[in-house]
Amino acid sequence: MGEIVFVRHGQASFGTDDYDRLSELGWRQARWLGEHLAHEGRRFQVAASGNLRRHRETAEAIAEACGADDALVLPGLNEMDFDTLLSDAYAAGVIPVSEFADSDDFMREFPRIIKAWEAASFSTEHEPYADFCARVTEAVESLMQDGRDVLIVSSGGPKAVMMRHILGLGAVKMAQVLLTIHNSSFSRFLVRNGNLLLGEFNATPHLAGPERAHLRTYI
Amino acid sequence: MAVELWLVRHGQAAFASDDYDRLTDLGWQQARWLGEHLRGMEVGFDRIASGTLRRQRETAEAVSGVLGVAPQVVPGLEEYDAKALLAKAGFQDRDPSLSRREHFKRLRGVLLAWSEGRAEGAETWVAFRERVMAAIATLTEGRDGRVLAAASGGSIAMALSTILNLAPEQMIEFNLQARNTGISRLVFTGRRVYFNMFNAIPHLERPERRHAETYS
Repeated sequence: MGEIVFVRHGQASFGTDDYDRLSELGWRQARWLGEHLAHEGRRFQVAASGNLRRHRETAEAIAEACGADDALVLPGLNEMDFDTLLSDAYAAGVIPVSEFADSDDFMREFPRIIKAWEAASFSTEHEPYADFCARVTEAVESLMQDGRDVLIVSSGGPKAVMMRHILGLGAVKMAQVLLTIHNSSFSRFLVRNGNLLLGEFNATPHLAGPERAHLRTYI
Repeated sequence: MAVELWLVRHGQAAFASDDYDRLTDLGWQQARWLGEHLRGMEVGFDRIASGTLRRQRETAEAVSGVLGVAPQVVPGLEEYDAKALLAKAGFQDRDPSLSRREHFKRLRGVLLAWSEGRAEGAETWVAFRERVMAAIATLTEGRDGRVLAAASGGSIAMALSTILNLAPEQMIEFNLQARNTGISRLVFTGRRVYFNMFNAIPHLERPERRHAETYS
C-alpha cells in the first residue's frame, strides 16, 4: 500500500512575459489544496517537484498547510517545452498555423503535434517523446515505495505521461487526457506490489462551492 | 454541441445480504451528500438518469431529490451479471467462506476469462460493451448540457476504457477501484470525447465522513 498524489501546478502566468510563475489565482488554488489535504489529515513522507518555478511555488504554497517529512526537487518531473515543439511542428508543416484562433482550434491541433512528436516525423532539437516519457516515469518510480505516501507537484505533460504508463494510452489519447487536467488538480496513483494503479483522476475537491467556481481553470 | 456526462457509481448496496440490489442506509446517505455537494457547487444538471437496477434508480432518486430534477431510466447502464459469470466458472456468488478481498480477486480472474471469451455468461463481453455504449450515445448524441447518470462499477469502467481504447485488464482495474458514488466524467464536443475525471468523491472528503468512503 501507499500512494502517489500527483498535483498539477496552480494557474501560471499565461499571456505575460514569463509563464513560469504562479498567478495570484494560482497561489490561491495551491493554498486551498494544501489546506484541504491538511484538513483531511494527510501527511506525506516525501514531497517532490520539478525544478520549474511554477512547480516549486505550488509545492511551497501546499507546504504552508500540509508539510512533508522530506522535500526534494527532481528535474525529471519537468514539463516538455511546448513552444519549441509548436514552432518546429509548424515549420515542418505538421500544423497549418503557428498560433491558435481559439481553444477549440488548440484542442484539435495539440494531439496532432504530440502524435507527430511521438512518430519523430518533424525535425526538432527538443528531447524525443520516448525520452520524455522515460525520464518522467523513472523520476516517479524512484519515489515509489510500498507503504509510503508521496506528493508530487509537476505539470500536465508529466501527469499525462503517468496516465499513459498506467493505462497504456496511445499518443493521441495521452494528449487528450493532458488537455483536461485542471490547475492544482490531483490524481492518485496507488502503489501495489511495485506497480501503479489509477485510484482517482483530475479531482479538485478544494475548488468546490460556488464561491470558488472561478478557481477551476485549465490555463 | 457539448455534453458533460457525469457517470456516478451507485451508493453502497447491500453486499452481504440476500438482495444486493438496494442501497444501504449509508448508500442513501452517500447519494444525498453527493446531491448536496452538487447543489452547493451550483452546477445545474439538464438531465438525471440511471440504469434500470434498483440500486442505480435509488441513487438517482436521492440525488434528484436534492437537485429537483426528475430522474429518468435509460436502459443499458446496468451492471454485468456477476452471479452468472461466477456460476459459469463454478463459483458461488459472494461465497461466505471468502473475505471481500478474496471475492474480488476471484472476480478479477473471472472477468478476465470473460473478456477473452472463455467464460460466457448470458451476455458476452462484447454485447455488454455495445449496450453500455448505446446507452452513453442515447444520453449524449445530438444534445447539449450537463447530464448525471447513475450506473455501476463495471458499466462505468467499460465506458471509460472503451473511450480510451484500453485493454480489458484496465477495464477490470477501473471496475475494482470504483468507489460508491464516485464521479467519473466524459466530455463530448463534436466528434471528440475527453476523459475528464475518474472516481472522485469530493462530497465525502471530510474527516467526519471518512467512514463513507466505501468500495462495496
